[in-house]
Amino acid sequence: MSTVPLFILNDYEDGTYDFPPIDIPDGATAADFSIHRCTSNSPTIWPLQSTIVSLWLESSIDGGDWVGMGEAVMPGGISTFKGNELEWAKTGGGLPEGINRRVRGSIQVAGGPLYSEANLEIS
Amino acid sequence: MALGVGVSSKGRSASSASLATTGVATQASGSLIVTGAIWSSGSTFSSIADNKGNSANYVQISTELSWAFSNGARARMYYCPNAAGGAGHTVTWGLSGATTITAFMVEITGAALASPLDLANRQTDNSSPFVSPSIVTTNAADILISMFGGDSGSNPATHAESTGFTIQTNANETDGSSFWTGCLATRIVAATGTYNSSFTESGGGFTNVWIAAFKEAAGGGPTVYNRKPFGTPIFQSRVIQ
Repeated sequence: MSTVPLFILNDYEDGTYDFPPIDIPDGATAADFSIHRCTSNSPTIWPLQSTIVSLWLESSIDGGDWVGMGEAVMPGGISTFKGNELEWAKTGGGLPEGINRRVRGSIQVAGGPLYSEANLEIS
Repeated sequence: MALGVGVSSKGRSASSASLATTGVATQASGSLIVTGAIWSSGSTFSSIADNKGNSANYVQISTELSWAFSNGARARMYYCPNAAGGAGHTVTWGLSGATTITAFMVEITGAALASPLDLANRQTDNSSPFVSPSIVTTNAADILISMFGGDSGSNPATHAESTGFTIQTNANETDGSSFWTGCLATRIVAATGTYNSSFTESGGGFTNVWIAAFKEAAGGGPTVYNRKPFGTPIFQSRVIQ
């Protein structure tokens, strides 16, 4: 698995933030947007449920048309899964088969500022 | 047109109030779209929609399944008959609040355009192999769709089915704590009978298994011409003297 930094740990005011196309290695099967969430150990990261992050991910093959590969609407605050606090929350899906694939996307922040960081995890 | 499987896709999020499956190219019209999702029980179902104008036509399969183990989860399935399609077709699940959700979608071709569902059932299963309820189909040419929802923490969680289903799309953990695992599988049958699905999942323990049968479109399969029995006289011959 490889991790591509998208947004460094910082304050992000309300608005839309794009990340440019990222080349995906041939053979990769999934790409997930991963964002740092609030936990008991990191309470200053994205602490408010009222700070909403909306995510759009797209993929393309051989420089062709972009198609959606993931959308999510995420409020802040502590989130749990199977009883455990989520430190990094991922959203994504399967990559289309092919070579010369790329992924791009954007997040929209509302109710911010958002204090967090995000990566693209390719596996 | 005989039953067939088109494209399939999935989506997953560790924390979201809505989730869209990855866009795929479905045929322009006439497909059956089947979709299912598993999500953590803290949120309730809100909506099902797609981006090709079919949102009002999704029909729920059976009823929602919810269970308390594995910290609680819910699952639903829907189908949309005679769907409009095209490039970048996504199905979006909406919930009452952000939670962990995994969703699947598969396109079926050659299904009946109206009232395609033959029958369906679902259950939870805590012991491997994880099996669906058995269903007795009423229509000879059916396609069986089975959704398996697991709770594996393995990285990845591998899935297999042993009664003749083909897994079309597969959601595996990437780090053991991020998503609900599972898969969507299909099997085409040519005769009425009793059918179920049986899955294994590495690291799985508390699961839900669904099975739904959908009918082939009338006139599907190869065309058979009605012929007279061999030897039937077509005309009477007489000797003219």
